[in-house]
Amino acid sequence: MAFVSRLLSQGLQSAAKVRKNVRHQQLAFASTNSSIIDEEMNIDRELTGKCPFAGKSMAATQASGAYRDRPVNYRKAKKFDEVPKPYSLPLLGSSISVMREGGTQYLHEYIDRRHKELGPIFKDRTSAFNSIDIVFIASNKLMQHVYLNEGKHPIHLVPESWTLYNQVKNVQRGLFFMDGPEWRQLRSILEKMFLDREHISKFTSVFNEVITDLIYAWTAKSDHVTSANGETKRIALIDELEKDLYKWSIESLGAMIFGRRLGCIPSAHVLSSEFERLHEFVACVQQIFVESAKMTLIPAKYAYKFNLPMWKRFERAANGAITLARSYVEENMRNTSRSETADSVLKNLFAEKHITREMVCSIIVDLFIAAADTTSHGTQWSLYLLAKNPQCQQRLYDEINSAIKKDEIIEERHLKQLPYVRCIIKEALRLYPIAPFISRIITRDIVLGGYHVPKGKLIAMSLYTTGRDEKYFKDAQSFKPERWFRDPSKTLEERTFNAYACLPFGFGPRSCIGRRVAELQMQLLLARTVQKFKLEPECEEDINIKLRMITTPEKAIHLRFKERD
Amino acid sequence: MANLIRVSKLLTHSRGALVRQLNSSTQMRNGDKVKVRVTYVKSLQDKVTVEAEEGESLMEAANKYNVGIEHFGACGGKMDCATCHLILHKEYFEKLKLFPSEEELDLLDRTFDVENTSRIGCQVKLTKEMDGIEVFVPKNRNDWSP
Repeated sequence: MAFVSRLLSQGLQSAAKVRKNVRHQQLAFASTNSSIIDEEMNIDRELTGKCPFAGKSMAATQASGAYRDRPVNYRKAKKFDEVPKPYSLPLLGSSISVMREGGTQYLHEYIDRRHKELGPIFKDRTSAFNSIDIVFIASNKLMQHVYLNEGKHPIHLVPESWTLYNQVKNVQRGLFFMDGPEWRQLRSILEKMFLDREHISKFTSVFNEVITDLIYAWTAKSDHVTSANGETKRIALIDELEKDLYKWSIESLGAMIFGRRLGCIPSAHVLSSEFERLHEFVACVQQIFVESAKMTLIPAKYAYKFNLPMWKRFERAANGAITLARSYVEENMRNTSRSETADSVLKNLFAEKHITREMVCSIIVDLFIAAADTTSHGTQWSLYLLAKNPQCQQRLYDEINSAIKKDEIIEERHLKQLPYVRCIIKEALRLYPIAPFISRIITRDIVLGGYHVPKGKLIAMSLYTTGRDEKYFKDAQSFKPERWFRDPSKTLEERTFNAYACLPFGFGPRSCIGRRVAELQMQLLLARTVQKFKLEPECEEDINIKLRMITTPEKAIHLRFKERD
Repeated sequence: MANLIRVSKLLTHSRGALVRQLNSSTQMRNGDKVKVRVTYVKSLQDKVTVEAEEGESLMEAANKYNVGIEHFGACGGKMDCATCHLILHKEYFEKLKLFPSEEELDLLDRTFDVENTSRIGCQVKLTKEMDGIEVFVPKNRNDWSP
């Protein structure tokens, strides 16, 4: 709109005759010049003169492909070679620096330091033997530019170890591993199940059932504790929070996918014999992440070639996870073929005639791998932050009490009255983005931050850095969910200024497909936990991030859950 | 295609007159479905007016009546991908109170070229009061395919 307005203003000066119409246009389409589109785009447009508002008919420019391709005069842009890069020894890339700083487990800190040293865009090779440049970006505008240019079928980076495994084992995999029209087709099918509010709502009661069981399990851990003033409280030390949440996440997802309870959490609904199998599945999925994170420094192809222990462990874990998930799918397939079964993702996938049974297995295995770890860690960080910030916890508790009766179970319909819980999740993910880097492989040349970035380059958006940048978030290191309340007095420009600095689920056609389901599950769990317990950290010490591909705590988070009166 | 009225060659200065004319005429009926006219402004020189049906969304109508906006509504109307972002005519936006929800605002905040009267097209269901509305297709869109 910025450029449109500018063109329109020129029109005003030159042709008095069209003045009226121009004004009309400006007024009609909200004349506030609010665009936060970066300079690059303006350069693109000005240089080419192919802007549809510049006088040429859109049909003509589109036919020639000029308008939508936004060709750029790369002579004006700096060369890709000039993109700042840290000093490193030839061949080794920055692997030595990365290792010195604690390896890929602390990659987010290494990259953050590099951004502070080299600016919002730099390139690096984080792996020895690996000759691929990764362009790291940490700026609102640059990230927006990447999303604007990602195309219809955006491509992201899949860990080499995972693709190699698929090759070696000749296995077909789900959505995460697909690209192009094939990806689009499956994504559209899954969107109907995962993004549709009405469809998701059907599962609220079973999500809540799982939470009830989890809360019951936590309550069962409580002991009577008499405090100094003689009051007796029931307190539980939750020392396996990660595991508990992992089970909760898998159980909730399982209920949605299979339309029945799996039995991760003890309840009246399942036989205890299923426990073992699930524990094994949980362990396998966690192992997959641990080992594939290791194979960022030592590339997977070498780990495989020399059959290093990390590859062996990875292979075993992946085999285990896939076999176990497949056994679940197959079991449930038999049950689901009876038409009277409850609504489930599995049932809907069966209804898609062109998806083979084999493919259904692959899709479901991948959904579990993608969802289980991420949802549970996002929730764990949220609970940790609530325990560390009692005033925020109190605010949530007050909000719950003013909207819902003491012993009433919080349902989806109540969530509208609990805006603070949404803010808590956003704020937690700002500080602890579960995917610390979101990647895109660009499929055309673009100008990014003044540099010509040729197609095929891998771009990593450093969410950890932008989320904690004072430029975008005042008092960035503090947990302040209030900052996410919408302030009607803000101008459009203020409103949109930091939007791209915190995009934990990504943006656009390839954003996280599980976002809505995860948010619903998290909102219910956080609200219901705080309704029932007062959370306190077991020790005051802050817990840092240690990456296991995703953002996980450096050491186990132990919390005390005090039952509320 | 039967419902499509192409006005792409329309000169800028006659635009206002046409809109007024469309506004003043009564809604046409086809069976029981109320028709709602929508003009998609792709550029000052390229406007497409279609006769959509009440209840259809701005995204659905554009795709159904072949307005020809590339990569429009990729997620199928789930308010997720923001590819069907449109800027509504201020008059209609205010008069009919076509304000976005909180959740839609969250998505709009990160959409390209957002304005005060921006909406996610799939979230705007056509009503007979909207007859004659003009909607603007933003310049910057993720509409490029490899």
